[in-house]
Amino acid sequence: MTNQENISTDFRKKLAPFEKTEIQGFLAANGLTFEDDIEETAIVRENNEIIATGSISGNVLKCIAIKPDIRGSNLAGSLITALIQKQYYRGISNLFIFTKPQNSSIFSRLGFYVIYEVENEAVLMENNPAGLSLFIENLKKETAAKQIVSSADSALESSSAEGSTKNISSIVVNCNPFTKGHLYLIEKGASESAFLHIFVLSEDRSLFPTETRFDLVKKGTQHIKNLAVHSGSDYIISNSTFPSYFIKDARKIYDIHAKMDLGIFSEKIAPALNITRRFAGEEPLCPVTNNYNRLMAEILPQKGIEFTVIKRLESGGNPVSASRVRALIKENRLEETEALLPPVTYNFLKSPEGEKIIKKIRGIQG
Amino acid sequence: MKIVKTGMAGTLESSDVLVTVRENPGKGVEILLQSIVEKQFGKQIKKVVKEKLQILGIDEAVVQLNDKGALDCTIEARLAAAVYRASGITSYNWEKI
Repeated sequence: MTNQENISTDFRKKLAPFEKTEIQGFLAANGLTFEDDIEETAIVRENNEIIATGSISGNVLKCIAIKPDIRGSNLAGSLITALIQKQYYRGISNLFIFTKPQNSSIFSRLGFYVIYEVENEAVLMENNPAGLSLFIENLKKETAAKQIVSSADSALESSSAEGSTKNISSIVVNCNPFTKGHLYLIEKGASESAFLHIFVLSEDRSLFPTETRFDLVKKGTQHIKNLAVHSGSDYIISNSTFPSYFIKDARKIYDIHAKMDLGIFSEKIAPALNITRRFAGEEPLCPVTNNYNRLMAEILPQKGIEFTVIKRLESGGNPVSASRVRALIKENRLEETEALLPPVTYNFLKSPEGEKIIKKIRGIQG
Repeated sequence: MKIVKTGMAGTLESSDVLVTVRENPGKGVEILLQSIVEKQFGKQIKKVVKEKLQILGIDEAVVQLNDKGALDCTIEARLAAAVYRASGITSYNWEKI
């Protein structure tokens, strides 16, 4: 048994190098790694020796480990309480944990519920048992609001009859920032669908903030009636935020991420909105996205979702892409982006808010 | 009192309870109980929660309890704290608490 009096729990925003090495060693002994995006770390020591640790990053609890010989003493309860309270005082109450399936029972005793499990590989848990259903309810509301408008409009158009045989489809985008390429993909997807659901990734690690990315897509697609723009929230999982600290084989990370993200999409979200088809833009430049397209082509049809890749829009012999836009901004060639961007994005870049982001792009990368 | 955000109080330590109170517009009171003594005291815990909510004047909320064997008085105190936090009120009516 441990003696409570000698146990101390401390939080660190930034770990001193020696402490980081210590934590990394402790995690490694438990088969885990320390992730780069951690914002705060709890360190539990008994007589100076680390006996437990856990970290937070956004609304995710991660890199949680307890010394094997003191497991069962409810140290997990104290540690998770400390992490939950820390998050609560940061204003975050809906929390997520990605972990190995064999550990899910520990977290379910501590008030976490399984959202999705990739067999033998990973499980996503959440402390609000209604979190996913509230998200889906909200998607339905957003859709209903758009469908009333679009059916009123299409009643005026003579071509509405053929719409009934088309699929309800979906596109997931990051739009960092929203380009003519995205617009082309969305217009094409909408024209081939009875209704199109666009999910904008809500991770906040892109140069353009989440809210801006979402606003630009929303404003830039206003002219298309048969679509709704949703925030991906916590249930469309970007590979940049997918925690992989518990996955031993690094080559499997992309696969497991895809199985989880696409599993939630096709088993939980798509059925609720009757989505039967997903579009993606062809990806000639970025190997990570290209790999994701390959995984979508493999996984989605197995789950009853048709997958269609749409060829990229080109401009001057090159594909129109957000990364090219960012590169031009970085090289101080803002005028040249006008050809690649819809007016809504170009005008935003010219605004004071846009200028700040331009400075950020030049500052960070230049 | 009206629930306007998520409120939390308590811990997952032995003999304590972690209470989370969330909004539930138009759907009344929902109690989600997870307790190590659910078989023995599940009904009693729910009764304590319902009565306390009534005293506090809450008729719409999701109340989630993760109980590690807390006594009734502890449950009431944690619930009251979570409700007050969830309602954004910081001046208390001590007679009702």
